[in-house]
Amino acid sequence: MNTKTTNKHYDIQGLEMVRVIRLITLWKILRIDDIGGKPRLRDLLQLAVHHYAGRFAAIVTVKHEKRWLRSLVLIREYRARASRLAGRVKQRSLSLFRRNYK
Amino acid sequence: MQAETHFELSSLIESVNSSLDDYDTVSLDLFDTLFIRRIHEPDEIKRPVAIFISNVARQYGIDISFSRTWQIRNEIEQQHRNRNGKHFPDFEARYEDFMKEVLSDIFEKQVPTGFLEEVIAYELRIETSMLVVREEFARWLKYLKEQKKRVLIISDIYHSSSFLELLIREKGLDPYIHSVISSADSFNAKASGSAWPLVRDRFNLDINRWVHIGDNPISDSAKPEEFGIKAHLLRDLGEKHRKSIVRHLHAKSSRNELLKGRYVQQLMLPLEAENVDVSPLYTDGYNFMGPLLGYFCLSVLDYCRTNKIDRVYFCSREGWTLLRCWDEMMPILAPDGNYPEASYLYVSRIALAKASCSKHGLSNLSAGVALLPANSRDFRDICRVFSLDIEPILPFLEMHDLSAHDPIGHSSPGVTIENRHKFQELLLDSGFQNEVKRQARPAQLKLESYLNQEGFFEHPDVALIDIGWLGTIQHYLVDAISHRLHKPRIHGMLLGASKLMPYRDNHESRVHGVLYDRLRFSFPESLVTTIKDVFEETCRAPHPSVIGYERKYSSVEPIFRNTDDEVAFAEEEQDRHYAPLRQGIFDSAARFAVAMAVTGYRTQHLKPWLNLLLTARIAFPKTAEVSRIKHQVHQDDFAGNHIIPKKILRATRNLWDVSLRQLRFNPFLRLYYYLLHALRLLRSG
Repeated sequence: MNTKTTNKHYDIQGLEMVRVIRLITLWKILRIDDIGGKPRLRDLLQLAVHHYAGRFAAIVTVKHEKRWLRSLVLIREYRARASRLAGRVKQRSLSLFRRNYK
Repeated sequence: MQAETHFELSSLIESVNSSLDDYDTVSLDLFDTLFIRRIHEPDEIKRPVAIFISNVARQYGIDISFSRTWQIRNEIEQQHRNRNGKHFPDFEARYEDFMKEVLSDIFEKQVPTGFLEEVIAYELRIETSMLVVREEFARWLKYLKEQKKRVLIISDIYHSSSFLELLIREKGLDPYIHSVISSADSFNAKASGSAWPLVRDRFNLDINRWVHIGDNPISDSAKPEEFGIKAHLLRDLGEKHRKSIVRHLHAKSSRNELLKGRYVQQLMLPLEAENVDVSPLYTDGYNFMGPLLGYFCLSVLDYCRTNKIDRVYFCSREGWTLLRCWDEMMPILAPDGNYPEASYLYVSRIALAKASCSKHGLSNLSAGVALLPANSRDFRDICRVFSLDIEPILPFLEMHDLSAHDPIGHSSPGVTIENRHKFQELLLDSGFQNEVKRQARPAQLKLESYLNQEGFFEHPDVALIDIGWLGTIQHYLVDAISHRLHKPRIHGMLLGASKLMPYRDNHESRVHGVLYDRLRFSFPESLVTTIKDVFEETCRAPHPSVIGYERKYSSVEPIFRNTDDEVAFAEEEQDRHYAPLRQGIFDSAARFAVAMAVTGYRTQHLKPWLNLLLTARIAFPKTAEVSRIKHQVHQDDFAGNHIIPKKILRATRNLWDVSLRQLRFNPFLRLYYYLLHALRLLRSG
């Protein structure tokens, strides 16, 4: 049966991320040889997520760009508001401290 | 009016097609719209060009690093942008202008003649290799041509329209495109909106019957809409996904050596119309064999540059595939022409064996090699391998109480110590050796003439490229020319060097294993030996084996083996089976070279990934992979006709020899053979 050289997840046909991760895991368990390059499972897992869940990430970042940008703006506003509130609380407590212990 | 945004190319084309009658003119953005880039960052193209310029500068005695060249280019480009920004609304620059200044700056106004054109041609070549036409757009352009629509390409880039036209012609789209407009020509770009009136006036367009398509929300959407042109914005999710992978790999590979090789393979992958349904063997050639052979050629280039070798000979028959890969890769990897001249040498072990005996006769080592295959065992096998006439030799055998049928090989079944001793005495017999030399002399003369004809003796150092494994061709060749005073130093470069025979390793003749060398003692590399025959069959040339040389008038030509027997038919059948795999290898060679040029990686950066590739595909293959890649027939020119004992077969059995049923249903089989291979490697030392 014919196949494509690049699969639909932009992964290498015949050396898919799943195969790479499985092999690296086996190496980490067996430890009979060093392939070099200090393979880190975390990096490979991140890459696998990019390959297999990257499409969803693209939908979120591109299709719902306005929505998540708005969320970011809101988060920044809340953080600014929270820090202002914290500043006021700090000021109030300092003035209370000075009034009571002077 | 607001631009329509599309997240799929098909929906964009459908939308434009639905109102196509309303438009006479369709304008398209070029980069990231009609063409996509394999790389995530267009500036990466500048690296190979900077390397090229700095290499040429070094030839002219100017010591400048490629990073400094790149920096100068960026600085001068920025100066041009700033200068043009004072007179035009956009801060644009023109490639030819600033590159001329860059070269003038580096070469201190003494730029070699025609070098600017060479740089432009090289950048065009790299850019073309990195660009892929969107398949759906290409089909749509044909449709637009049929509908008699005017198609314009409008791009904001520092390349002039003539450069872009060349790019479009390279991709075969020029019949469908009316004109190409670049911001580098007028310094008026789409981004500021100043390009739109210019285009309208130049082509006398009605803006109400003009639709524009692009990927930039400002240049291709907001600005044309402001001007009154209907715009469609393409924000392709698939492309964003692909680019995010490449970007991630690029970022991670700077810290993780393993991912460097992966990054190169990711850049090599076929996209869009290149990525069609192909035979799985093609995919194996492209994704497995291709990078390995590409790495081999790159290592040969590095070695030749380091050791100042200016001539490379690829030995038949496996060298044929390697030479094709070499020819594809070198113009990209060494655009300055700093790579050795390569040619194909018609040689084989059988063709050289006889000639090798002309000076010293039959050595113990050479006889040992002839008897190495498990199905060779007696003196008839030696005569077959060295093409010796046995009749004049029989009296010497009788003199030493040996018959032509007595097993004499080191590990031949039925061999006795007495027979081995008798054979050793025969080798010490000067009468026997004189007879061997007498028979070998004509073959040696023809070989020497052939090598002379190929310019073999004209260089102080030559590299001899072969797939492997013992280096016997080189050993015989060195023996055959050992009487000469003027002969080159031979640097044998083998894909895999098992180094099982104690061949000479001195300043006259050295053997290096590129992918695998037993002396390096690397476990993943040693897996190559599991499928030696597969590598040989894959790389084999489409011509029969060379069995000797003959004089034809003033020249010497190789004699080929018969093509009308069962073995030849089997080889032909095997060739047909491997044809897609070879095609995959050839297609991958140029892309591998471009990916290496763009990333700037060296061979050592690829090693961890190739180790992983070898282990995954050789030690832990899928059953389907073994079933399709495994060769059906393999003809060893040294092999005899004796039956191989089961004991020897069992001792050398590996994963690729077990049945497909066992491979499919035994879950621990791969692990068992992987550990067994490790054990064998440790035992062999």
